[in-house]
Amino acid sequence: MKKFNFELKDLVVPLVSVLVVILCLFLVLFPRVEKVMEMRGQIKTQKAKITATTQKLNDLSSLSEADLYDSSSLLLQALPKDKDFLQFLLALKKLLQENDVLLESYKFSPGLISTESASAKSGEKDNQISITISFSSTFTNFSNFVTKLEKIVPLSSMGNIKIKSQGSTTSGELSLLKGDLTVVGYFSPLPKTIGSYDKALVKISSQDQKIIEELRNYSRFYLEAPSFEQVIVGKEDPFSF
Amino acid sequence: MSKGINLISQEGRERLRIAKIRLKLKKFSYFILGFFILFTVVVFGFFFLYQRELSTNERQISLLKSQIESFNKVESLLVTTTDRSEKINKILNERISYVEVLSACSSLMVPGFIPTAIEIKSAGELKISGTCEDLQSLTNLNERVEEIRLRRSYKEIVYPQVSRTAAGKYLLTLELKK
Repeated sequence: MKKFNFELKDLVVPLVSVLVVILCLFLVLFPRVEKVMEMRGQIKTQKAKITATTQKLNDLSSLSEADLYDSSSLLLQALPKDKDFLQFLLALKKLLQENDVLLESYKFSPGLISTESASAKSGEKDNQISITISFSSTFTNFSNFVTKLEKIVPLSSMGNIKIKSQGSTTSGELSLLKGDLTVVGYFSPLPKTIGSYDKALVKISSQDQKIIEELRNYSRFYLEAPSFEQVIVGKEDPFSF
Repeated sequence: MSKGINLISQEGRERLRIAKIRLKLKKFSYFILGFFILFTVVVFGFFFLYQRELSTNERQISLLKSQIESFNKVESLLVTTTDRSEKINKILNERISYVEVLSACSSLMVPGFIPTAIEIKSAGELKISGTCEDLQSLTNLNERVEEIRLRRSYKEIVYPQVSRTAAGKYLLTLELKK
């Protein structure tokens, strides 16, 4: 019995310490190891994010706000964000006048005008505004008008053209023509959000540059803001006449 | 033949064996403890190191984020520029130029030819009807049509109808198809 007690006492300390070690391994260390591995993954992701963000910051710093403002203004004039019928109609009218094409009548359906989405009416073609104009002109003037219409901002395109002769001269180019023309204008709402801070920055491609340069040569038709006469309300000195 | 004599008693030998086992167990438990302590130190070392790195990176990211946010206006201008440019490119590619059709139409306006109706379809096709005052103007018109044909910008050039009036005028319809 004495011998047995002696052997058990000898085994207790090592066995307990091994058991404690095993318990600690499973309960404390292994979860911690998992956490460390997870942290390693997070650090890797963070480093990738830092690299991308630094790159984006460098790219943004290298951009000129003035140049971008200039380009985006031009592009917004070419393709407005709203369904701006008035601007489109005035540009068209001005161009017709410049080329001595007589605008007899015009017809259009503005559809749904919404400042928020400027969404298209059902049955209406997406992001397009269409005006049908009746005109009279000589062929040369009309031809000049069409040539210039393709080189103006806001951008437009033409549908079917139907022309009938009204005069009788020996020169076809000088005879008076009367016709109908459908002109289509465009608009497109702006993207709602800009990219996330860690998302790569979109770059202006050579194609974009080419378009901007091309549009710079187009004629621009601005809507002149009406000037209002300043009306003085009240008096600073109520005792003066 | 030699024979070994063991002078240690049976009980003494048993004690010695137990002492050896006890020593081995002690060594083993020390080894396990040592290994455990070392492993714990390494794991916790990495844990604190990574935790520090994580918070440093987080600070750096938040700094970069605020710096990028200060460029919000530039980014929105850039996004607008690329978005508009992409859409304008699509419009320009899909848009059919009427300049070529009108140039063809203009070249047909020879002296003596009076167009009565011109129809230009959105696909760039041209249909022109008119009157030629005499044979000379009809010949001239036909020469211009031949020039257009040689340019190969139209797939088909058709005269669906040509007629002569009692007054010697020629009424015709000409179609240029893409």
